[in-house]
Amino acid sequence: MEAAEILEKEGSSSPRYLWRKAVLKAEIKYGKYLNKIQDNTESGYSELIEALKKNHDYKCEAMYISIDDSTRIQKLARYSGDDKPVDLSDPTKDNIRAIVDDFQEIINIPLKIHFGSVIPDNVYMFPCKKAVSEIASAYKRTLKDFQFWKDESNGFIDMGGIMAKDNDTYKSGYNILGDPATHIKESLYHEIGHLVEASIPGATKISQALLKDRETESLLSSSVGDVAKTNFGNSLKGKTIAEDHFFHPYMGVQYTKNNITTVTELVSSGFEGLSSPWMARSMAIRDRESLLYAIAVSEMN
Amino acid sequence: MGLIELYFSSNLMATIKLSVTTKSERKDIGVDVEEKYESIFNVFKEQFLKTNGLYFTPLAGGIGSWDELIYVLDQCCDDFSPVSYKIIEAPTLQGKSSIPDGGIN
Repeated sequence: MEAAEILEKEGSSSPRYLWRKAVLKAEIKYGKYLNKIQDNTESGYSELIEALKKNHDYKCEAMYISIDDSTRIQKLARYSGDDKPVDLSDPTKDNIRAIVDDFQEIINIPLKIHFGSVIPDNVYMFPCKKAVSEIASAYKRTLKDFQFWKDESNGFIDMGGIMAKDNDTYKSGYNILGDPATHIKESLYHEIGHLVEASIPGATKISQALLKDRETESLLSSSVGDVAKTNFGNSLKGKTIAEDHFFHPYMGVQYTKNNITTVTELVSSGFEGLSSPWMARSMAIRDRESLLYAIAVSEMN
Repeated sequence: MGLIELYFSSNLMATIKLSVTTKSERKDIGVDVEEKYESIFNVFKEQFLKTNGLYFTPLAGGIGSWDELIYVLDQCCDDFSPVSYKIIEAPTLQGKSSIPDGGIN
């Protein structure tokens, strides 16, 4: 259904209309850069990133969780391994600093993020107090006694699966086949993408509408859940997934907490697509709409 | 006719052999994967994908990486069809280590 038709039938506040409008605006503003990227023009990616930079002076606050909080997280995860939480080294922190600075430049909300390396072989995030109130409320009971919750950040990112025991070496991480040189950036863009979606009022609802529409309108959507069953087994048990021609079926995943849909994999994966020229090119070729949607979210506040 | 065969042994820590044939050339890559799967990926990327000007970068999460590989192969090879490859056993990230309840990957 066309955007104009939805506008007429459902009004200008309809999430189904809003995602279409956002994607169209992104296409008009940034489509020329995606064309260059898609055509493998050398400067395409750098031109896109330059164009995405926003007119603000926000400086992302990157903070690091305490050993006490790390120990609590291991208990929360019922972690039974021998690995102790890792203090991130200064070079790693410098790397994180550079990545979050780059990320902050292309989005319209100020970020405050806690990082840590706690659970090995896994990378994940928690939305925290600066998430939209409904999402923050869903996590309050679980996280209210953690210092990183009291510090009022957008969220916590556990980089344990990225870091090796010696703190600096690329391990197998989460993106197991990724390029080590850009591995941390890809993973952090993905996780920070979750934080952004959780921190922008209405963003998750608009994302849900996009997922639902693509699920409904796709000729491939025979039955929701088959993709999850085939590709992910039990790893996504309890989560919902929309099927369509996504860059990757993982992008159809939505998370719930206390019966509230908190975030999707649509925005996080889209931002990951913006983390490097080759990711941007792959996604621009295969799923331009999702990449445009992440760009559209970068314009929201 | 093009042929693509991906053989993964039942023990993923043992040898993985990748044989790729396109219309114009044939490449046989045998990799002894003792510790990490990325070695096969790096060889594949260097020797085949770059030649074809294509990119293969799985999303964070890595889940479905091998589906992605199949997609790229599909793009590379005109004669690719479901009968032209075989995966005996594909790596999977299922059964990963613990994650706190409510954590979002």
